[in-house]
Amino acid sequence: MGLLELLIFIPLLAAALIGAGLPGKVIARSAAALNLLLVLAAISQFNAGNTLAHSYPILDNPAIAFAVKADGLSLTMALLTSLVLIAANCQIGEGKPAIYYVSSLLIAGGAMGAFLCTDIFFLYGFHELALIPTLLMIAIHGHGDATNRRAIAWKITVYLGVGSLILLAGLAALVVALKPASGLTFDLAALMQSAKDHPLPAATQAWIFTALLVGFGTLVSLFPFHSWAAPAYATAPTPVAMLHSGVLKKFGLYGLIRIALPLLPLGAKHECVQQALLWMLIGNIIVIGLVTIHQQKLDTLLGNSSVMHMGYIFLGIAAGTQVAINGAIILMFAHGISIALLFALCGRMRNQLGTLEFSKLGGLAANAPFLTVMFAFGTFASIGLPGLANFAGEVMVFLGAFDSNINDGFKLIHWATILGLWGVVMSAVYMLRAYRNLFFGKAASGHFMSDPVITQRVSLVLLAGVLLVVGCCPGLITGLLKDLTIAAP
Amino acid sequence: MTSYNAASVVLLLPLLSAFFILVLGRTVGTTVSKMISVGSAALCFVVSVATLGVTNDSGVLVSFLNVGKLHADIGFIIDQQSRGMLFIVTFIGLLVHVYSLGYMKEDKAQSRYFGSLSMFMFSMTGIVLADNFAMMFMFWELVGLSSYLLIGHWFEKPEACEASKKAFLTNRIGDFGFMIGILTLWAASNGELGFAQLRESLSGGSVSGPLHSAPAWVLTVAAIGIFMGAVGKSAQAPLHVWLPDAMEGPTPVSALIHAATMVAAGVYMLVRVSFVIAASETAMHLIAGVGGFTALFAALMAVQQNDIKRILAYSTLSQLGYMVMAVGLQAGEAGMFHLYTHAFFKALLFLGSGAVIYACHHEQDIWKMGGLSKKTPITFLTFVIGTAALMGIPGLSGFFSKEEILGAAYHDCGWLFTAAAFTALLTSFYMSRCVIVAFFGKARSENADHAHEAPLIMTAPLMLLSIFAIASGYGFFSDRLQAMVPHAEHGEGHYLVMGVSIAAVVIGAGLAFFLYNGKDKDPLNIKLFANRFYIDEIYAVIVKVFQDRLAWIVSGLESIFADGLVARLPAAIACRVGKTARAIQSGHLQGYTFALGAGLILAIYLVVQVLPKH
Repeated sequence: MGLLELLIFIPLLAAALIGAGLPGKVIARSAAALNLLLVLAAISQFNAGNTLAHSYPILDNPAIAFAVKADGLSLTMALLTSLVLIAANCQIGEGKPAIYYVSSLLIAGGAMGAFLCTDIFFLYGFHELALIPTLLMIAIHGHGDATNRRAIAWKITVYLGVGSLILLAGLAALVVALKPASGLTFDLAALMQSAKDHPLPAATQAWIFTALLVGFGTLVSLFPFHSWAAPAYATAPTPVAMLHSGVLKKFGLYGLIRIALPLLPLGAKHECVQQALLWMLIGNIIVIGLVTIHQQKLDTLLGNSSVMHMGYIFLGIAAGTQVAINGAIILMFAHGISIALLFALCGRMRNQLGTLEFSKLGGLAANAPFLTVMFAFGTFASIGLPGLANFAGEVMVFLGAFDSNINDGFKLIHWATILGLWGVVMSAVYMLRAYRNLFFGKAASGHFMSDPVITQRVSLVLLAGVLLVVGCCPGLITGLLKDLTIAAP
Repeated sequence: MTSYNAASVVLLLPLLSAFFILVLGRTVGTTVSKMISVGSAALCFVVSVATLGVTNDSGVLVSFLNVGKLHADIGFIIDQQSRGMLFIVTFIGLLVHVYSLGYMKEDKAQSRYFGSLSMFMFSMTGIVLADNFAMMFMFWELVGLSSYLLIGHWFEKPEACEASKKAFLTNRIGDFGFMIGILTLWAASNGELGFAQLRESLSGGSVSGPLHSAPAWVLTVAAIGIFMGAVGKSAQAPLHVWLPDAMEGPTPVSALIHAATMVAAGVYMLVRVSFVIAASETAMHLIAGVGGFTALFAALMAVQQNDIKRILAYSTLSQLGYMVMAVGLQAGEAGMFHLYTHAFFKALLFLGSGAVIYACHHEQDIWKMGGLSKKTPITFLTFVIGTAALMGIPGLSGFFSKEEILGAAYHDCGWLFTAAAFTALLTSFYMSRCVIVAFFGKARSENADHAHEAPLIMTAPLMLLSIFAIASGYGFFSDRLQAMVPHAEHGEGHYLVMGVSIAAVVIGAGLAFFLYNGKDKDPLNIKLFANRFYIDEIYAVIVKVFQDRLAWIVSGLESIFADGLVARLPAAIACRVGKTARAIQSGHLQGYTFALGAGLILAIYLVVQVLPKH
């Protein structure tokens, strides 16, 4: 049993133990802490040059194996998962039923599995494993009245179900199309070899890529398949909202970078596909940006902003250059941390204040300086302030996307980048407006918020600290990514 | 001291101070925080004075991003421009730190205030030292943050919150253009961000640079984009609206950030990358035009302001307009020279206004002051020196630097010269008005009647700054300050320029004396100027229509289309198909048998007739 298998099974085992009746808080927190330590150990192993890989064959034909392997990308995502898991566990209040701990551990364990497995069969399966508790938690323990949250749970179930189905069809088509002489295989490395030896015709690649883009895209709330996201996050219990928006949503992006780009390089570069993707991501940035400006409540504002920010990561993927992909990965990490931090604070505010409407709140800074500073970290991270992690990702995406010959005039990708830059202005508009309305000005009567005790601050400081450290030294992540092969030569 | 060490110390010390105060400020208490912040400012000042002696140098402090062809370092350039600017920033920064010890004595959140000041010193030093666009942009944003924090220091005050938000957002709009400019240069030069590398790529020297062969429009886009950054930071029209509102912040902050240093960063940056601007004729005309327009426009607005800090704020806009105009006229050195002298006398004026406000118990309306010359003699005297330097009275620093700019305008463009000269007249007019109304006559309010001189910790910086306001224009001083002074070409028209500028001062001051001496209320009443040409109101409408209204519409459309077309339509189809299918599944045995029979016949038909043909 190697490190990576432990990373996947510790949360799942802990979930099983809590399900069996052991105390939730202690087990969940120790499992999460242990997971973080193991991820750090795995990263140091990886940096030392050790290959972390194991494969347990399950079927010969078609070849399916429980295979795990770590590279910079998967380790970055594993680190994100374990950090958000810790923070999410710490947001579960006293007296909450054990299912809160079980679900968050299952989501994290599933996400770990999806990020670490190199077999498409397991990669897909682990994602589904993580998805189910998310849906159930929204339906059972979501905020708001029962009819509403059930309707929303249905909506997200149908959306993500259909998305997963399209994805499944795309993956099946991919596996069949790339079938090597030795028979069907789900192993990514074998598929990669096959794609290198017998490249698929561009038209086929384009079709399969489109299916994957729509499938993965729906999971990441790519415009126009996004309308599940904002209500889902506004309704989900705080730890679920943190884990889904912070971690699980990144699975779709991870899949595009891990599977679609390297196996279907011509599909990604296909004129129609690329143009379509660019238009869709412009939709994410500009349309959803405007929608976000219109929001009057913190939870839907954060939900929409998280949809909007996916546009930047898609821009990095659409550009496909090394700088842009590196930027997209940093941004995946950074967005995960920053949105988890913001949702954690949002959950606290909902508990203490009873409302999240901007018009009813104000002046919270007077009594809660600590939370004010934490919220500032989240706010300024998400508007791309240098020194916090998101900036490094955004600027690399922009540089990478702009990096082509412009002497004959700007092309669509350049215009998309310019619109993306305008999106940064829009993010500042809505985040600063929210920050100002909630924390500054005169305190609104009847709504009082105080700082948490020291022990409850730790997880928030952890997230803010990570934003600062990665923001100041993005090399910590790009260093992991230097051997990442995105496109098959 | 090597330049590497100097650069690291000046950059890192304030950062450490800010970080320490952020993390431990509450624990260690106000006094320690203050000492750390002031101490770091003092040390930085000493180091930058030492740096005045070192030779030109450049280097990398630490690598920020290094992926593929992207190399973004935290590096530094030490040359005449950065040495001089470093001196200004740390000198005025130190004085403002010290002055704040007195001015902010009774504030509840002094740790936060001094922490933010340190943060500002860090960010500003970064801009001064930057050797590439990535670093410049990062610190550019960080000064935006510190400005946001300091304007919004009194966050309970709604005006202060709105002003800080406005400042940040307006700057963001400028940075939108700045980033487009940077990206265009990056793409056109095939992946360069460093100033030196870009200059080389553009010059097409030994290695024929890709930027050299770029089409003209690319360079124009780049230059105008970069200029947009400066328009935001240096508050040029049409993005000038944030600076007057920024006066909601504590007055020492206005002196340091919103008069002497940060707002001048736009000019500093333009001079730093003047090689890009020089490559585009269109951009140069635009820059000179915008600068000249802002100078005149802001001076007109200053004429009818009553808040002492707002008068100074509009005057800052106007003087920044001069500097930007100089850059556009390819007289960057004249612009930088004016930047230096302006930093001294404008910081002096702002700190002086702070002392006046302090003396009058937080009264800022000049019509509620009056007669302060006797009650606060030191403040009065230093304020007059600052005013004289700003007006450009011959012999004081402002006179020399302003004349250089007027000279450049005279040589290049007739109407710009006219605008600049008229601005000089207006400057003299509104500053004389300010002094006459605030300091002479009789006290017009109780607060003014009970005014008392500020403590020494506040007046000492005033006295020091007055020395510089008088003398920094002379070669002896400016050489030692490493100020960038243009090589004066006393060609034809020199005496004309000098004559015009002296005449402007005399006429302006004379008019003000004639109109305002002994008056208790403003004899002029120009609504258009007093209401700042209604620009803020127009912008409010634009924001309402093009942002909030548009957001409302898009939001509605989004819920119709994304929710309706993508989600509800398929759902409705599924529902309809289900309903239809349910009709077939009627439960009537005959129906099922009929369907079964029909299906069977179809299958047989297919097998017998269709399949064999394929």
